[in-house]
Amino acid sequence: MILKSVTTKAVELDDEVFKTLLNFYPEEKLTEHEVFKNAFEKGSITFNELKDISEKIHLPWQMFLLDENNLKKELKNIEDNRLDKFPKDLLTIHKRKGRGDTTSKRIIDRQIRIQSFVVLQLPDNFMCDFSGSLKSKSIQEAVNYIINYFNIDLNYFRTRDSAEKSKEYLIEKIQGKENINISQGVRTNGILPEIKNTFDLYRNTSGFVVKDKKIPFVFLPSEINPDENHFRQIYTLLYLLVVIGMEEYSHSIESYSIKKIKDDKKFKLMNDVVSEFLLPKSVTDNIKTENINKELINNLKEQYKISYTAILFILRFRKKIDKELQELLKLPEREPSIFQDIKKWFTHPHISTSVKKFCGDVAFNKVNTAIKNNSIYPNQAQMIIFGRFRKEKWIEYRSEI
Amino acid sequence: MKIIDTNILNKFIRDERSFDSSDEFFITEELKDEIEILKSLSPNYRNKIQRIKFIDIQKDSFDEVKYLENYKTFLNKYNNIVSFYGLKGLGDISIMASIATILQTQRTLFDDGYIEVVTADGDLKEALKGEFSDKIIIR
Repeated sequence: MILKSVTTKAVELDDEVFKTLLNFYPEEKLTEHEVFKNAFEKGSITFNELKDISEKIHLPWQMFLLDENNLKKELKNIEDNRLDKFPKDLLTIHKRKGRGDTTSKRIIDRQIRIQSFVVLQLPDNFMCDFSGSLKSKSIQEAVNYIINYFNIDLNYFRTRDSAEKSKEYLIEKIQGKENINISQGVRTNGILPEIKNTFDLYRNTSGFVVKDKKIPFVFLPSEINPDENHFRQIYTLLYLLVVIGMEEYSHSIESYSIKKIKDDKKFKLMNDVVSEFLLPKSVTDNIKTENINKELINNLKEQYKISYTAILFILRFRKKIDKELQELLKLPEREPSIFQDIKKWFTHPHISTSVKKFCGDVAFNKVNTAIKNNSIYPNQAQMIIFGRFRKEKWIEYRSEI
Repeated sequence: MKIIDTNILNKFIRDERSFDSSDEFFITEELKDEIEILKSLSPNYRNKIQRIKFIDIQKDSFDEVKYLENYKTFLNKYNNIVSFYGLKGLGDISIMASIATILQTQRTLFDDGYIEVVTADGDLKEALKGEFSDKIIIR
């Protein structure tokens, strides 16, 4: 591949480097991008084309200038970090069925990068003392511990106007001690690459934890997965919190089934804690089977901010309904939503609002402090918050903070 | 010509490092946007910013081809000071590539007798010594 300066022959680049780099996120199918298809056909790309497309796909143009060995070293670093944070099989990181079959490694790598930066800002002896604190606790003890540790007002949580507000309340409380960071997917201000198939890919994620002794990161899909409504995200958030509390990081969910939960003691315990938090047994104990219908479930959903499907599971577990009634009350399966139909995502928030959501509150504050103290170079800051160098957005961001 | 890195640029702007009042500075293209930001942060910076020029690699008079060749060479040679994961060192590479290009092709454009690099970065100083020891001043 020849890298051209307008029309003059410039530097000979290695085709294999291009291929290796473009296949680093195979699920994004970057080699199929028009610019690269043309470049491979012609055997050349101009410097300006390379800079423009690199910005779009969120990979530094400089990486294409590496030789094969140096590129492999760089990529190995990223892969090693991934393996350090996640179980080997990345296909099964707390995901629900979406339109594809893998969690976006791009999002994972971005979150690891943000977390690595935050960890460096913390004192050596700083530890997240919530990690592992739920081990050997009973269901009720674990629920009480979560409520007290994060100072959660359950009544306040349940009486918010909407599940979205209840979710926001929980997010704020959980980040209150600055030892757990909650980041969320955004599809505004180009925080994540917006190439052909990426949004179908992002929606495979229903949430995951990036483990760390100092500051574990919880990731919720939010805007990038319209199939995960706020009720479901509340459940996911609490489940991931229990993952941290029990240090069960190798645990992953591909699908929920009564059998699966029954067969796996830890999985059952973790679900029991979340269920008890959201819909206490004392509430369902007072419900008579003959009174259970769709209306009652919908009322419980609004009152306790828990999804309809989760309520059905809980009622089944607590032997309030049998399989037959569960099937009868089940909502019809629906196709994953289509992004084009969801107009509400197409808002134009400030760049700092999008960054704050994607980075999480704790990380957002740490990065901004470092920017103001000049303890981080502008290019580093941009790669952390935007995943790439972005002149115009950086200037905008600096003026907002 | 005096080339300064990010660190020194910030110190100079914030009065943490003083230079002769007649000094002019060059920065590499990567730092160009920083100037825009500094301008927006405080009107007090404007006077100092007027003393800063940037090396425009796409200017007709600059040999961009040579620059890219040099960039590629230094990027791979000094992989110990560059980290894409840690996002460090790319500014250092652009300083080295700019100097090499100027020395190879366009010395006359910046002909005030010398090239001086002002940096507080030990790794960059080492790399500059190794590459251009007798051709530039490192401070």
